[in-house]
Amino acid sequence: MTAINNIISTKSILIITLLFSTPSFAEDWAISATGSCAPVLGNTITSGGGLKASGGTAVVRCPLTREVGSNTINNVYARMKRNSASGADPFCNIISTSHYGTPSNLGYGFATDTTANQSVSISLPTQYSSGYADVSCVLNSGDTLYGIRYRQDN
Amino acid sequence: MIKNNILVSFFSSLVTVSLSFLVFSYIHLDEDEQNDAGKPHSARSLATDRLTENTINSMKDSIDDILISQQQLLEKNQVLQQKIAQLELMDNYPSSQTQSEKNYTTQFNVSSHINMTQEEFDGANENNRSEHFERVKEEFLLEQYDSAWASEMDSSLADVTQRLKALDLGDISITNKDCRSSSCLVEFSHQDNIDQSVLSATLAAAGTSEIVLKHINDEGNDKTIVIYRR
Repeated sequence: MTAINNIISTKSILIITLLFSTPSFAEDWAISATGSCAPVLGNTITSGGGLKASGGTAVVRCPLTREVGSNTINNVYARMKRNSASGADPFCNIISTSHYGTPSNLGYGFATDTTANQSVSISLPTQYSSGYADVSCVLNSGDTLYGIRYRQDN
Repeated sequence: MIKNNILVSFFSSLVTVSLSFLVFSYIHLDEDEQNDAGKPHSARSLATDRLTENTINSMKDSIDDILISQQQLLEKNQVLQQKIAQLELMDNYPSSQTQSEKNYTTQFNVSSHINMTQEEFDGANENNRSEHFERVKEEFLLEQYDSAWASEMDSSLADVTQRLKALDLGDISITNKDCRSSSCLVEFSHQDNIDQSVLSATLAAAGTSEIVLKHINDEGNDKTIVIYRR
């Protein structure tokens, strides 16, 4: 009986441990490129529900207007489509805007798939701090940015 | 920080409980075996033997499960410790700003939560950015050379140069490059009137995931020193 009791206790503790160790997300939201992003260099057009670089390379800026935490931030994704004819991978940066002045630390991710829409995971910079963030993307002609998804741990 | 400390305490407690239970289970298993050892074999039925064997096997499986979850907990704890270490590195920076603080700063030109003037606040930020860059540079200088990665970076940096030309940001050229095992230090020389925010957003290189950078004026020449990290 002692052994059986031990097993029951073991399994209870195991279940409790697994229950508490399961990751959950306090925030999971997205912004659309057409509603929240704008070109700061080059030209874009609205196409297929996204912002498409036209006539050359464009830099598009998307301010994340919700407050984000430094120690809890988990994932930031850019939903985009690469135009295979452009010859170069588009990419998106993220930077914390809590530090005023010139950006000094940026994390980024490249879109390498040339065939379909893709979610690009943007690496977080090590100097990320709580506050607000900007995502900026460099799109080659024909590349399209659909939106930014943000996910934050509890 | 408090939330992190609570999380770490919580995970540490769970690990402690799991370890204690593991030791407790093994002690009891040992005791059971010792008690049974004194009895004649004929006194125990075959069914009891099988039950005991199954029970022991189940216990072993459970203990294995616990060991696995304990390992997972330790890994999570390690991740948390790393995050705390990062936060501690950033303790010199002004801590999180709420929207109201941000508004207050804008409206009154004063950083409310650390009671500084805007000039002092900006100055502190500039110092912190500079310190961060120097820390990363020190880490870079401790790394070994990696000729294979340096060669890959040559190709990536050629793409960066081509991109900068396509964006027509003015005369920009790479005037120095040094690649080690996981970082590359690259010097871009450019005109002094360049939009540094746009420049920063366009410097990403394939094969890396982060840049730390610093703008300097070297005897009248404007430069941006970029450390690419894998």
